[in-house]
Amino acid sequence: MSATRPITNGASASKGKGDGPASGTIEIREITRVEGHGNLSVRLDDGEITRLELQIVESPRFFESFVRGQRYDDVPQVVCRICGICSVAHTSAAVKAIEAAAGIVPTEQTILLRKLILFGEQIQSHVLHLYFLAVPDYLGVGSVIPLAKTHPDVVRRALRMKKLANDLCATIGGRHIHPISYRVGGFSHLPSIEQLQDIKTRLEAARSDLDQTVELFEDLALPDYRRDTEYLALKSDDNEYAFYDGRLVSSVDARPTAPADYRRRVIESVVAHSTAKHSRSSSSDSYAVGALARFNVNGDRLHPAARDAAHRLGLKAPCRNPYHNNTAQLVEVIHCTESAIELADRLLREGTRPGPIAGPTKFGRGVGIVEAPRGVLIHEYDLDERGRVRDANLIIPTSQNLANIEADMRDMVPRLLERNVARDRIAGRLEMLIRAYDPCISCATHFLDLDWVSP
Amino acid sequence: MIAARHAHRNGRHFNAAAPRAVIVGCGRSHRCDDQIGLLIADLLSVEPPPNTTVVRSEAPGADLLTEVAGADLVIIVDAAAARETVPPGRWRRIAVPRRDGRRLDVALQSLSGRRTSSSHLLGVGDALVISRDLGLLPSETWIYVVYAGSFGYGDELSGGVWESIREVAGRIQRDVREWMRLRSQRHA
Repeated sequence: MSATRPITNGASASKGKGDGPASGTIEIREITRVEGHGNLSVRLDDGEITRLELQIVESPRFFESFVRGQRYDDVPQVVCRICGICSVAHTSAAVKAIEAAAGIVPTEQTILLRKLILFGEQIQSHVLHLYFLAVPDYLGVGSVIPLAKTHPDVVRRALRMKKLANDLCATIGGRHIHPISYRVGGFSHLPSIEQLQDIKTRLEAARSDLDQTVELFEDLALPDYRRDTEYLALKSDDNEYAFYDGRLVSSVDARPTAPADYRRRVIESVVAHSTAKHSRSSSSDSYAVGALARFNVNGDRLHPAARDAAHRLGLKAPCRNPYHNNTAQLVEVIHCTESAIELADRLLREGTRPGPIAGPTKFGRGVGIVEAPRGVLIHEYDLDERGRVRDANLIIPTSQNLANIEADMRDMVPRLLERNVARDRIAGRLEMLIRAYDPCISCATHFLDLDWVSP
Repeated sequence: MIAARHAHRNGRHFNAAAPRAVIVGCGRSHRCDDQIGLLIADLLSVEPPPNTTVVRSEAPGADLLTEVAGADLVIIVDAAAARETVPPGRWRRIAVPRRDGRRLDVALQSLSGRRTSSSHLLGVGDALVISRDLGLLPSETWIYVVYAGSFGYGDELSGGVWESIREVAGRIQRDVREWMRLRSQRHA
């Protein structure tokens, strides 16, 4: 018997034999409000999950192949095109890897500017995800389009914050995505004092929008679910909440691992149902990266204003509820805003000085790791004696999270079935879970089409 | 994906007290005729009309929303699929009828087409619908549509399209300058 009936969000479901939930298949076609194309397929036989696959069906993109033979200083401009949302993070990881491979040491001013633009990207990516993708779930509307009618102030606020973050990135990088002045060895163009002052003033003025955003999220009821897993993030050697640099640590293994040794921690494998690789760690079959992982690893290093917000939102490390990745994103927006104000202030105080772009002193292998909005982002390049790429390996945060999302669902579905939760609500929970990780499969979508079909 | 030409915004042409125009060229790089809007934006960026921001966008939805706020005139330039009766290269200008609610609804509905719930797939029409609902829709919105023969991979343009790109860029230059002149006279 195979029956399909429509349920919420344009999804569909069918029941197992005898109208009970103990047997059946959940087929989620086109996971949406995530970036790119993915499906979810779950098969239940007598209450046991016999198949659970988060199927990534995007075509491979071959970036690692087509940077081969490219000059070292052309690579960041190519690989930043991997993503239109986290292009600054890709630029940063690539530049750091190439500088490590080429023996280039950037100036302190360069590092400050890189941190500042990375804050801008975190803000714009998190604001986009929270307001455009996550909030509609909690306010009971299908998307941002009806949200503009029902909650116009919320959308106006989101647009103001996104515009500010875009402008911050454009001020430092020359344009708000795919930065052009962010180069191997330094910046080819520096922001003016007036631009820095303008950004700082606007960031300070954004505090009231942030406060209202926290108020909004205080009232949202997130699903109550928790599962123990490993959280992996960068931890810096100073006291910073790491985004730009640091070594890999996790909630399971706190011994720091240098970026060059990342393969000891991050073990990739190919699975048949996904064109994106899966990752496990040396300690766990799956692990999580992203805002919640950073919060769990570095929460005590947050800016005091962000710590206050975490307290108001009831977010406390260690938090094992993946839905609170959204809460952690909001806490990070506040941290990044306050930290960007401080950085802008420092640059204004010390002044910016143009300097030469530092050149290579050798060519070899280099690894660069940064925290992209969605988590640990790893770029590795091997340069030949002419400074051209011989080999590349890029590991994006979403591919690291896929196995963990599957593990969450494998744990969650039986619990929901035990509680006789209606199947359309299970579908909704799974949609929201995937969305909470803010996956970037390639170029985002919104809801899930779900089929629950009898075997 | 959107990249704005900001230089003139802070340069000698920008006057905060005068009417402000935003031109958004939409399209996809390396997708044949789908580059039309981007190429027109590139041409206009060389010497933009006064008080005008030129933006090239590869995903205009959410980013378009952040650009239209505060503008008095928004111009959207995009490609549309040619049909048997409308060959590649032909172009037309559509004025969004802001003051007539019913006609505006019809126009926006036809622009929006697919009702998506994804911010990343928000189209031009969706962005205009949201702008209207938020009260951000500028007093005037013009859309220049150039008909396209191919949306495949590559940089090659269909016959006649490059000529239209140059023609439309010139027409937009003239139209914006004339609009600025009339607005200035009205407010003098």
